[in-house]
Amino acid sequence: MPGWQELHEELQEEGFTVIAVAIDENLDSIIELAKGVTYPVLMDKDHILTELYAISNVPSVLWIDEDGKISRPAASEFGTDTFSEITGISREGHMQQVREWVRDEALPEDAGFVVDDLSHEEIQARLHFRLAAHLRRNNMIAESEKHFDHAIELAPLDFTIARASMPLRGGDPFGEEFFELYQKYQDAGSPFHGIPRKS
Amino acid sequence: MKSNSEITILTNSVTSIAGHWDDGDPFVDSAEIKDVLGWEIKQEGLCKDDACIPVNDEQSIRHQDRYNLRTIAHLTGHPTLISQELKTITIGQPAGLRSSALKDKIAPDFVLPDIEGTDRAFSDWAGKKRLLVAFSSW
Repeated sequence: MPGWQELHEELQEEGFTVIAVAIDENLDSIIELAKGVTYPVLMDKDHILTELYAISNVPSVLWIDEDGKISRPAASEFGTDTFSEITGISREGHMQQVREWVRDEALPEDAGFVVDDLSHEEIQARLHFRLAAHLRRNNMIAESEKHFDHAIELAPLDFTIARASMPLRGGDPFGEEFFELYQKYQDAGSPFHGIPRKS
Repeated sequence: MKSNSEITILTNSVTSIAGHWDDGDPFVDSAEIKDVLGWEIKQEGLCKDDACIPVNDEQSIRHQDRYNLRTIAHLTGHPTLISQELKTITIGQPAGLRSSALKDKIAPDFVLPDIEGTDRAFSDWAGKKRLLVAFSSW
């Protein structure tokens, strides 16, 4: 978040804003992450955005212009270089592209990329996830677990399903189960709804 | 088998309304169809703003004085998930909004609460270039 804050401050007088959407229901954690942030931070506990925009992992960053046209579709971009050794993605290249878009209307070559639509299974997985999260909020734990399981069966490599469910089910999204998921994801060729990495 | 009951509807919010189940499908009053999906049942069919989807066989969406929420959701492009056991229908986003985002690059609008709890529409910031960042604590 601090990296996006710097970019937001740099460009906010030039008709630009960052808008962050937390694909998350943990308000306390998001408030903590949003300390010092002056751009809007919205809470999407039911993952509406992942269905509307076909998002399968975070961070996913989209560029949307003054008229509501998507100038560059979802890509995995980072506000900081904390994970750049693992992901191979450094923040500065993208941030420079954003500056050129805001100031000169310049778009990178990959801006016209067309992201794959969600499959029927990925859509149903989102509905099972939403139902499971609702049931869990109402303390119907056994029923909730069943629908989390269904969701993961349908979309096993979708991080907004498989990883997002970990903390909701008492697991650790930074622990062993995450590394197992990440290995399976890599073995499957890193399927992702968004601009693929060149590296 | 028809059974009267409360039906829980998960859309962008959670509502519980009176209705009945018939052959595994939830049936609700026409006013609820409009509240939940934004589509109104008229002579011409299912209508929203100026657009109408014709319904050739009204019996296919109606049972006595109530309407089949699953069928109408599908006719208007929404995916559904039904749990009759939990008396719940989960209704997703219209597929057309996502496909116009992916193919025609039209950003679908959405309304979500900010961290203070105030509902905000993405279109509140129309007129600016927006970097939409989906992130999480997980």
